[in-house]
Amino acid sequence: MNEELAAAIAALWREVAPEQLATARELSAAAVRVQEVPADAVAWGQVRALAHRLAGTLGSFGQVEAGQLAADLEDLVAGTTAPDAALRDRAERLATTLRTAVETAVA
Amino acid sequence: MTPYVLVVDDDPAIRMVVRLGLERVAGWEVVEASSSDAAVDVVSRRRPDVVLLDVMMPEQDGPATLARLRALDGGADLRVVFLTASGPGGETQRLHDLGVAGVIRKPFDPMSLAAEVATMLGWELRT
Repeated sequence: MNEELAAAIAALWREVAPEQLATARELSAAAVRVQEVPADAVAWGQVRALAHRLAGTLGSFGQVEAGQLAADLEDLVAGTTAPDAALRDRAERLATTLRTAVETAVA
Repeated sequence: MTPYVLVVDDDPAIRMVVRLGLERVAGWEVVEASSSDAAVDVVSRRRPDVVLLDVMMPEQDGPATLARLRALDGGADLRVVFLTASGPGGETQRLHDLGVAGVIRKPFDPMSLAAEVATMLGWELRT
């Protein structure tokens, strides 16, 4: 049963992976926007919401490394509505690493 | 009797992987809802044995949806398990305090999800 279920989860991952990749890219783009326009509260809200979503989803499909990166990013930005330059920079770098990890997982 | 389970989550990927885990491992009957309104509609038509309810959803979140389900005819004792991507701590306690059967953190292992839900509800898992 475990092997059969693992195969089914892997097949399902292939089905949902393009949407996860699109979400990771959207998150990365939002993090870049926050760097360019620090007062863009909408973009910062996107960073928080998309990191939260990916943290919950990626790990449930066995994408442990990418899921952990999303969780790290979510922890980093949680509770902050007006990030300073250092936080914006860390968030952008982490979002880029996450996007790359998801791209690798999808490849 | 085969348990009838409602999964409420705005993320289709989560709904699909929950369905996969519960159907393949436990043989439960699973129905999905992508929003609070859809969940109310499903429960109004056929009462599920348990609702797996995402906490963070746009428009109406998990706790707001729980209140709507509780207000339905026969909804007061509806069994609900929250799904949340939030970490342990105050948030989890706050969710427990809403009178649910349990809280499951995302990410979860789809292979053990049915067992985890069954344990929370005191059900025997037939595989």
